Amino acid sequence: MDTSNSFVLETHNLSKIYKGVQALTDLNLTVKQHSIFGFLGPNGAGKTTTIKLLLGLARPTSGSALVFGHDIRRESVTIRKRVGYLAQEPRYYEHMTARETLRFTAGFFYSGPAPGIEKRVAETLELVGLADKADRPVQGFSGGERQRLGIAQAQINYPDLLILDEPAASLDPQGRHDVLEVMERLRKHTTIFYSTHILSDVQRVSDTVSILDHGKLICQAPIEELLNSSGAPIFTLAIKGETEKARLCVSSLPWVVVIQTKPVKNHVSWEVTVSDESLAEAQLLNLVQSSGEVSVLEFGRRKVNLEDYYLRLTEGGKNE
Amino acid sequence: MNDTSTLKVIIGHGWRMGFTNLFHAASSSWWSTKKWLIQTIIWLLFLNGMLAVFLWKAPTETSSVTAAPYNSFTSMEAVQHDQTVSALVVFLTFSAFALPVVAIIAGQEAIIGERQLGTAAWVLSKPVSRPAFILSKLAASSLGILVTGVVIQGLVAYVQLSLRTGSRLPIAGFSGAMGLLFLNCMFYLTLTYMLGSIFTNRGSVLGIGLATALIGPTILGSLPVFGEFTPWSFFVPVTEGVPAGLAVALGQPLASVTPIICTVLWSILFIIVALIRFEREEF
Repeated sequence: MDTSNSFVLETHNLSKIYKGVQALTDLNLTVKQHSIFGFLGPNGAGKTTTIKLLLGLARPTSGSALVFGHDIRRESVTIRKRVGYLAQEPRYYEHMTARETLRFTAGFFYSGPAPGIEKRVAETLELVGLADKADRPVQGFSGGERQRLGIAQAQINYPDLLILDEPAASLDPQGRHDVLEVMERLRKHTTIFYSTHILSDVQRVSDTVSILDHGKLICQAPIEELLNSSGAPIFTLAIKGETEKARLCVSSLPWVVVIQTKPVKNHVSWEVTVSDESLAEAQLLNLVQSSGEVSVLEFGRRKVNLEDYYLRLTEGGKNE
Repeated sequence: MNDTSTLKVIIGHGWRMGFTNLFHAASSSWWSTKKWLIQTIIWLLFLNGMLAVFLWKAPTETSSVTAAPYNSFTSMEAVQHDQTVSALVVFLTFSAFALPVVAIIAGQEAIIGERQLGTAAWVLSKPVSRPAFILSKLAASSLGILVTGVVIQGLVAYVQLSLRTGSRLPIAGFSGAMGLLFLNCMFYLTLTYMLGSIFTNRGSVLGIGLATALIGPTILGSLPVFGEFTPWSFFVPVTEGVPAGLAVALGQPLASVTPIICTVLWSILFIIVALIRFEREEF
């Protein structure tokens, strides 16, 4: 490790303008060694741009970044010797087999001996569950198989930093499960920096999370800290009847932050975010029941999850 | 898991990072597949087939197989009266038009094809320098064209010509003419690399490349000055004398080396521009 501290990756006011569009604004990130760092954000938030800047595939407009203490502008090749990268839509030479693809990738890191490289290739194919398809041309691979091959080629040099851009986006539930399992297995050997918008995955495997929106970093924190500090409690209600009058009544209360309503078959589901938990516990149910011709089918309190926090910060996860 | 002790890690810096691996991969696409064989057969049928037709057909009233020394063919009019030399002219001229087409197609695939497919971004996410990416593909394509389109075709053509003329064709001169054919190809190959680094669509690259290759030599009749600093005059007569490529093949002195020097310089310039442009490319 070339760094004097435990940060594998640091960015300092990293910014990128693409054809007049501000894709990334003053990004300040730090990624600790051996962490699984979830990089969250809606489509177009700047996640892939950040990754491309870190890999030298694009140049920053301003700001700087260090990976293993090396500058991304001047020492990109040195950085890439220690990095494995899986693109959002991985592309390979279609005529090559999976084994040939890994052999080709290994050729950028190792000059021999050939048996050693073959052993490494075989191990990596085994790791991602492609051993039985090793000698099939890539052009016949499914999306999931391509993604597995992507992880394999990113892992072939046993990198100190694994950068994965939406590694589970195109996978079915089983494929996603497998990818997350591989990531967890790799955790003790490497640092994983991955972008995603699948929040349940992040909550399952990440230890640190950052959320990006409109090219700006909204927050970065260990996931437990984020969930514990994500503040406002949420109460859930299932209501039947004339709910609009009740909604207006409740939303006028000073301790009610927001009400999210969703029609569900024969009733309406509410999620009421409040600023005063004790007042809500004491008054909310009574207020709703007395505010009109409604009947409350269910009432309860829900634990805040990452999705709540993410949607709140990114205004519903949409980024136009 | 992290046991890398058995593997020899590549320790290197600078522009050569990744060159060897990329060159092997690019070469494999020629030599580990049937591509080289297909290319060779196509050129044998097209170029040497054409030569055979002209060489072995019965002499016409105005042409014959003469025993005149080759340094006596100082004008295209004289050439037309000798069947062997006429056939050589046909071979060289067709090669000069056809081989650049292959060079242009191979060249556009190397940069713009890889960029569009996304494989360039994948490869460049590995410890690979951008000059190595360009130069390895250029080297592999050049070698492929040199062997399948120039060396093999030249050997077969020389055997045909020797059989017909009784081995009177100077081997050094003929090799020199084949060298000019290769230089001609390199001009278009490097031009295509440069175009591929400037434009983002295949149409522009192919269109400009092919237009340059096919229209360029034909404008020499009205604009002979272009022949002085391009490869267009290598195999197309600009004045009444024989073109440079034929003169070299026949062992005659060159009227001017300026077009050859200019073509080398153009090729170097094209590749420098391609390297600079590709270095600035964002993926």
